[in-house]
Amino acid sequence: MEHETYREWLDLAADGALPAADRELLGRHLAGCPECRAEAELLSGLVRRLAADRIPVRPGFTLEVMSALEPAPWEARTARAWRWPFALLVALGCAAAALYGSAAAGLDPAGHSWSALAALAGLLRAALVAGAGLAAATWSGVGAAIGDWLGRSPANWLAAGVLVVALNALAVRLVRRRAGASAPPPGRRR
Amino acid sequence: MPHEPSALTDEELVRSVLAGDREGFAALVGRYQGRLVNYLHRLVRDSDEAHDLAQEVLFRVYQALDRFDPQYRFSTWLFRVAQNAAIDVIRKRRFRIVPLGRPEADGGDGTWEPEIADAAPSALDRIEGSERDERVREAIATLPWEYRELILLRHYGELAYEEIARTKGMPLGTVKNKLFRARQLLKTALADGD
Repeated sequence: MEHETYREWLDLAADGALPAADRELLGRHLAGCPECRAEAELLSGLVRRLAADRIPVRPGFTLEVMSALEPAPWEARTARAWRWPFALLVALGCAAAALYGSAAAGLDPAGHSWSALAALAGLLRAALVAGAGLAAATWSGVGAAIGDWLGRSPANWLAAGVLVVALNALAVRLVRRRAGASAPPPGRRR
Repeated sequence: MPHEPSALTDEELVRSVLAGDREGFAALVGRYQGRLVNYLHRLVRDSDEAHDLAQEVLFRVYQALDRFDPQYRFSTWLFRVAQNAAIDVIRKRRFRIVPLGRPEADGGDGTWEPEIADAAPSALDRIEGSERDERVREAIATLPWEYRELILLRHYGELAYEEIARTKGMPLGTVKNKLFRARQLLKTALADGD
């Protein structure tokens, strides 16, 4: 093997970056090469001097950093942010299950009480369908009323346009204000 | 807020921080503070400024943690941010900055690198320096920037060769080659000085 290759290996070995298999080969070479042994000592000394050249981190640095950290924009999206809404949902689910369980416990399975439960479920389903229909009717009614109002005069179209633009501008402003509040101030230190 | 030594990898800690465990970031700070401060200290040559800058780097990293790409190493990202922050600070000092534009010795792409004149060490640093190896620092300061930055990343940032290659966007072989040359230059400079 080329002598130059061993010199490169010596450098890697002094830096602790030479693979074990190559270290073994290098060791055998060093045993018979005083020039490389001297080079190895020089390089090891250099690496030791570099490793010793350190300043201590000031005490309490981690605490300093952690206490000065401001909330990051991504934190609002973490699971922790959804912890309370999720807990509320679970609590409501548990309460509903408890109510349902206590109601079911009062029924007589041997009798005809189960059919009463089925009737109750049917009633709930009918209420849902009726509610959805009512909402749809309300929206279509509102839509018809707006259409009627717009058709009365071209000025109404203008007023509606102004209203839509104003509402959009307000929304943009609110979003910008929110983004500005979450951004860290520039050049913040400790 | 003491941090517990953690068996988790950096990337696992980042995931836990993003899931809401702020203490995970304290563990990362504890893990990197020594290397980061020493690396920055060798660049800005002022202990207080190195600490403040390390803090700023950690703030920046925390704020952008959700943009961390887990296919890369956290250390690679951290030291890239640190190097950019240090160069910004040095530029702001209005010390001499000379774009060299010399092609890299071993067939690099010839990108322009700033040659940063070192600020004089502060009084505190001079006192601390009496306890440390000032000649090593002087020898490092004489290295061309392309070698000096790798020596700092390896011996002060304590990055692995692969991490340096990723941080600098160089092939691994180039990193090994440049570090070999850099240490040869250091060895010669120190031998001349001794």
